[in-house]
Amino acid sequence: MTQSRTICVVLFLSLSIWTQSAFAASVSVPRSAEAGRTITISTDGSGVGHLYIVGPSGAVERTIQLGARISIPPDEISNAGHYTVFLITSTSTETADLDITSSPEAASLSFLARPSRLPVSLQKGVGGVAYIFDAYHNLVMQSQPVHFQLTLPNTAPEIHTVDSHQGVAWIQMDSSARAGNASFEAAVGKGTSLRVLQEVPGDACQLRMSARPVGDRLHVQTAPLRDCTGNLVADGTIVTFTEIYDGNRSTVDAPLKNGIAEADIPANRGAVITVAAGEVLGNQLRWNGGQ
Amino acid sequence: MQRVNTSEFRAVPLSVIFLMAFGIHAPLLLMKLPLKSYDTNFHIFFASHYLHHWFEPWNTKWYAGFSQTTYPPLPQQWVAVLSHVFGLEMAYMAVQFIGILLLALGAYRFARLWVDERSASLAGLAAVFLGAECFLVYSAGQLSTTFAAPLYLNALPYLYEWLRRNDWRALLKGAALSVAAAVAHHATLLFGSLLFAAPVVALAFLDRKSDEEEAASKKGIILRSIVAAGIVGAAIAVVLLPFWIALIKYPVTQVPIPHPSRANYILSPQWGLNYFVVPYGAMIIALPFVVWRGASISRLRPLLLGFWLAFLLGLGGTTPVGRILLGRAFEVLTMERFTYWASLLALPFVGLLAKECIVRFRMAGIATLTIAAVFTCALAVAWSTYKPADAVDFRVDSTAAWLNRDGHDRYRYITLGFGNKISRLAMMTDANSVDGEWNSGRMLPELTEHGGGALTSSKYFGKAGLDALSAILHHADHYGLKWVFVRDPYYEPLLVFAGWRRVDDLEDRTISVWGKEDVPPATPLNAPQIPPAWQGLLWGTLPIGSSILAMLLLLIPARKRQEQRAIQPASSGDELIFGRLAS
Amino acid sequence: MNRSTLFALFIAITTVGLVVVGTIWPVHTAQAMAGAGYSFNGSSEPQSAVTNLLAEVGSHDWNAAYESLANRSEFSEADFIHDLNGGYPSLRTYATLADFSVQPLHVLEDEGKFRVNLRWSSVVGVFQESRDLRVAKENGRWKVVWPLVAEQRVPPQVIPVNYLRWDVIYRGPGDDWAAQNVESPHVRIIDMRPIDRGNGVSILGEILNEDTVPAFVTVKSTLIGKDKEVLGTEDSFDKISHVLLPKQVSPFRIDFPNVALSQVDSVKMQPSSSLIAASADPVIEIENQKLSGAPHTSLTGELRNESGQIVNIMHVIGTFYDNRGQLLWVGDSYENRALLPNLPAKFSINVPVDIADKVATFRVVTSSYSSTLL
Repeated sequence: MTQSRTICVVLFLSLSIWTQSAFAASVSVPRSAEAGRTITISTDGSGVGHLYIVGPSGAVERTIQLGARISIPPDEISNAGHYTVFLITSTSTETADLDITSSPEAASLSFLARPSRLPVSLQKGVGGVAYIFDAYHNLVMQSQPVHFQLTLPNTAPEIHTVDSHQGVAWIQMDSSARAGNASFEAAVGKGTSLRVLQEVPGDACQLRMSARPVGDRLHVQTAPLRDCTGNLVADGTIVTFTEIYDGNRSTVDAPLKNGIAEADIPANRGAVITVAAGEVLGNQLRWNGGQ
Repeated sequence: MQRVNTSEFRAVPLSVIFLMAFGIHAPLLLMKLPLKSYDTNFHIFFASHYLHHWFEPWNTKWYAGFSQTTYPPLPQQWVAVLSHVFGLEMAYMAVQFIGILLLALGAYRFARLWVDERSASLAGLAAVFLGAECFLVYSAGQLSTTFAAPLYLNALPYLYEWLRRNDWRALLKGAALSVAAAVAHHATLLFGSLLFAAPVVALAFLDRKSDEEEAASKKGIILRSIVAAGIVGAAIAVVLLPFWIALIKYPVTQVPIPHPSRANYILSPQWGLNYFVVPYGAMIIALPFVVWRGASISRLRPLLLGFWLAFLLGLGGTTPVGRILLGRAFEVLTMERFTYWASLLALPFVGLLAKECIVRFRMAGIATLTIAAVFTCALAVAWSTYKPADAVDFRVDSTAAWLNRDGHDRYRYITLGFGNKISRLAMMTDANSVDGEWNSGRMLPELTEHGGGALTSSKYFGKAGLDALSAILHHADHYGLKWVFVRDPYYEPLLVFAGWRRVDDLEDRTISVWGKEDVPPATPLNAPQIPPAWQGLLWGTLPIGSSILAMLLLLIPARKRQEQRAIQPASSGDELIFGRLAS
Repeated sequence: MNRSTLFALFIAITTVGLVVVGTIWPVHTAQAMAGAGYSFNGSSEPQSAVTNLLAEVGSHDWNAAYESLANRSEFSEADFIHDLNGGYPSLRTYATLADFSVQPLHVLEDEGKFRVNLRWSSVVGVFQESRDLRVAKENGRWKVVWPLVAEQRVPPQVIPVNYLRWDVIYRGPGDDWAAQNVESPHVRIIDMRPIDRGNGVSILGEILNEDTVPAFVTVKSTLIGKDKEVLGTEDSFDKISHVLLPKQVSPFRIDFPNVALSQVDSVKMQPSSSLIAASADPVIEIENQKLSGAPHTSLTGELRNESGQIVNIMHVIGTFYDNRGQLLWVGDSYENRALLPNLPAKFSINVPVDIADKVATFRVVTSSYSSTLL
């Protein structure tokens, strides 16, 4: 709709320019202005004229007294981009160019953090991209220092500052050695944005189990299962107990709970019991009736 | 026993017969009772397609696309035409009502060939109460069958006239009505027309010397039979050309689908009740009379033979006749239509019996006949309530709305446990399905290779149905099949183990929506069965045009004859007319 | 008798005769409608007694079937129905008897024994059952002595459960474009092998959920021909365990009928995963797994439900390896009875004859379906 209106205005003005070029008047505008500043436009002559400012996302129309200075408040023209100013009088049409640039003052940012879940101790596993905007949601093209901060509870935050380039700043960071929900924050000027990354334990590093008889069955249980940096392996991780006895095989896929997986399997004297989680193999037991 | 003179009661006027038809069937149709039947929504679905795409017989709503030229279109096209005035549902009722009126008229006119005026009028009246008609209209929803047969019945007296008297006007009318009947229903054309026409040709032979002034030679009748058959055959070949092309190029080779009308009604008494007792009703009591009187009077013997054959075929798998005579068609056809045709062929006998009852027993006879007729009609009408097509009624509006929003209709869908509601759903949604209710129109190998019916009712077809369902789910990606609407938890395990996930619930959680990840949007199938534009043009003009032509031709006045040629009853009426005439 | 009478009698007698013929020797369709294995013979022959009983079972005429038993005083009709249909909702509950065969083992003057093979059609396919039935002559009629297998029942009890459960909250439609969404689980195909099965190609493989959250996985495969043409795209359908808990491995098999391996130039695998709200329950122990010997090699074992939840349908998938650890085959079976807490139930997976002698080791995984609706 806005575009259609803009096209109509442009067509109308072009027609006016063509018909009234013989009666040229003058308008004076700054070559460029910063978004958020008042724009002052000067005109020559006397009588009444119409001022149109046509830009990337709309147009401003004013009926003005020629010869007066016109002030356009910041909220009327705030989108960065190229504008054309038309001054139309009864005898002539004047045009001028105006560029609105973004404010160098960052006011907000959009922060993309990937992935939302990753294993601990992963080099350059965390990626963050910040898009910096001024108060009028224009991408701030001037370089700005952006602070990225990755924090796990009860640990010192890891802070990096990166200068933005063409309105964008990005960083790659290593995930922490400790599992938990990490706060990943990007800050620039007064704008901050927070994301939460789930840093999850890695694969089990050492898998050990023990067995004890319970009634006529055997209760097998792993020691608390940790990854190579000491985190308890994520709950729900499947640990497979396998018992081989006399050519027969029994298996249980048991989920970890609080780092421990347990299951009851048949108690067969002489049975060999193994344990595995994913591609990680654990110790092997031979059940000799509790000896 | 008191006997009365037959001249004491006159033939029932046609206006009274029509009034009775109106009184009985108009309220039922205004209540839209047929909507509860098995196939009504199917016909409305076809009509809906004609309404929106009159010249485009390729319908993408079912089977990822199928051609409606596989089913003669006349009643559905008239429903589509009338729907501009009444809406689709009431238009269906209107066309069905016209079919009922045509049956009453046709039964009278057909019976008039065989029996006297009074008996014929009673046959026409009996047609209004006919159990098989009520069963097909209100329980089975077979619009095409119940529209085509009356047209044949009305055509046959004209053809008889042509055979007997070389009356070209009668030939034109009879041929036009026969063509209209053919474009109304293919099974009636291929199987029923012979059952009706052969006795009439035989009658023309038998009657050829009964009128000395207009005695016809045997040769003449044979010649005129050939001419009539040739003209009608040629006209049908042209008018239904897209149908024949579809049938010849893509014959129905799919694995037969079981149907209870092919059961042995003694071994499966529940189906015997459904397909024998309910359609025949009190006519069962008249069967000995039909055989006895038909055998006694030589003039009635062709009719008896026609009836007997239709009767045996209508018994489905109770006798081996159907399997022997029809061959593979026995596994494709549903046999209740033969019962319907047998009932129609028996109507002249019923009229005769009714007349004799009235003559002999006066009010008692009338009362008995009335009770028998009303009971027969009532049982068949009520059967749709006792044994409904859908045990549980439910609405599909929410399912259609779900499909029509958020781009869900970019994918195809199937339903499970929706019964014959799938026709209604197909009309309401923009989305396309790989399922459908027109088994002969489907071409997807997953459906044709297993012998199951509609996927939505897979479990009722046992292993065959479930194999078809499994096959189509296997190829969900190929068909852009992303959504499954489940109203029967029976199917849930298959969906769970096959990798479908429940994504939504509808209708107070009685319908669950299941989806499959990574299914590409549905694309039109480039099927060789898609009829070219010229076939669409023919299909949109010739069938309905033939019915309009028939109506116009009927306006041509009949040739005047010096005396009524129909067999007249003896004036003193305590003797049976045809027993004397024929023996 | 005149000609008319003769004609009428001819029609009447012929009609009756045709009905009699059609009833004693029904056409196939009518026979199927009358019930699986219908026989018009009464129970005057021992095999007919068995056949008629099974026909009644096939048509779910439980009362008639129960009444025809010789030993019905030993159990109730409900026990009989539960034996055949399952006491708890399961595949059996809505299965239909597709067909059956009866094989006489021995028949004496007043007793006999028959082996019946029943093929039940269920929503996930056909399952078979074999029973030995004894028949005895009572008052001149043969009756079946039904070998009731009383289904085990779980005593009323309260079973506390504290199993793990994952729920998922996705980003909302009104969130900023840069707002986070939850990450799809990371899965990896850890093994894959195409094999030629004579009537087609099968892609065998294993997929691992290497994430810490449950994954809903499917594997799609596309066969590319020598001329880079697509020979077909299929997915694993039910030959996979779709829900994988963290670090869980599922085998998969993708079948391409009517394709020869010699036609295949390359295989494109497309594993996909998505988050799913899932539960760590039920924990199923698979005991006493072993390969039975030839000629009908099968992997047998027992399933034990270590949780408190009744599992309505169990799907057991077996992976078979040769002595080098290479994938040989992926087979599966559905259990037709509900799996009750801590009550073992037998299972069996058939191994193709041509593969059986190469099998050195195997691995079994299960997936389950529990519903209050079924």
